Amino acid sequence: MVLTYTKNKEVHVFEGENRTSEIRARMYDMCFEGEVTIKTSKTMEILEINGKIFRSFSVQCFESLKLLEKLKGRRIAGGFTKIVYGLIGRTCPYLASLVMECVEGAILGATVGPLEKALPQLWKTPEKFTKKALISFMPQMKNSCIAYTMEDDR
Amino acid sequence: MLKFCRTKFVGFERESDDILKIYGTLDDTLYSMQIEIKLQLPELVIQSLTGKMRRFTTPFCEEATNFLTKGAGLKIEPGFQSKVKRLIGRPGCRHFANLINECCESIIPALICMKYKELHEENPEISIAEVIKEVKETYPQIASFCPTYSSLLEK
Repeated sequence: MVLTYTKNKEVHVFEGENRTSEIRARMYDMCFEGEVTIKTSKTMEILEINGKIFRSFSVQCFESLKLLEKLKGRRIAGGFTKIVYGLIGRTCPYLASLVMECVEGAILGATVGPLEKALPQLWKTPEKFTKKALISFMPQMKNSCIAYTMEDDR
Repeated sequence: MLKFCRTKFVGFERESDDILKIYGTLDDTLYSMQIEIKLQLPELVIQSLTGKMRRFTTPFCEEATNFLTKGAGLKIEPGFQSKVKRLIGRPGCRHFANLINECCESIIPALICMKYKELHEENPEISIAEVIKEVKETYPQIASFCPTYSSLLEK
């Protein structure tokens, strides 16, 4: 059967100097093509943010690009999703979704290092691979999903 | 140096007049998983949701696949994404929830593309605004959760 709709989205997180990160999210589907680039500090403050829209049939999406500037100086932390959707989500959900993809990339990029250290140790002795041990390596992940939630906390 | 990369792919196909089949694939530095959603039209209600993990970080991750059944019966409407996070993401796997939301947030452009192909055959001169108007008539519920498309119609 022929696909009636397709969408591709990709995110790349690069490590820069002084523990800065550059995150690029690009998306294209049959109606839209765009890109958002964010540079963050080691404390996840947004130092730079830029967007490009290559294709969209909504004029408002092109107009929303200037709103990205308002996110500069903000920190990626609790409540950030609400800010992004409040600012851009109503005028261009595509652009808001690209910003959030960068945010997800920034968070996951920050967890890769600790996980790369912790997981080989834990998998070496599977019988000792407990949720308690996992949470002790990654306390910030506690209660975020099934792997980091103790049975008693459910 | 590249420290993390993620690719997501979403594909829609029309299984029958009233069923849309949606595929989602997520592949990144840490995880690899796929889902398949069967969506009832025109109600936009999830009939079934299945998936599997190919790569994950802990021995507990795969158990999250059991939570996908909670998606059956959910309707794509305002608040849908939060429900997915609450029912599948937090208790199961937040990357599964992310992928489900990625698929379902594409429903409007997907419906527009399908309607465009259908109407374009009959009338090659048809405008995208006319197509959106037709989609809105068939699926009136989309106006309530996508102001972009609604405002496009008002122009």
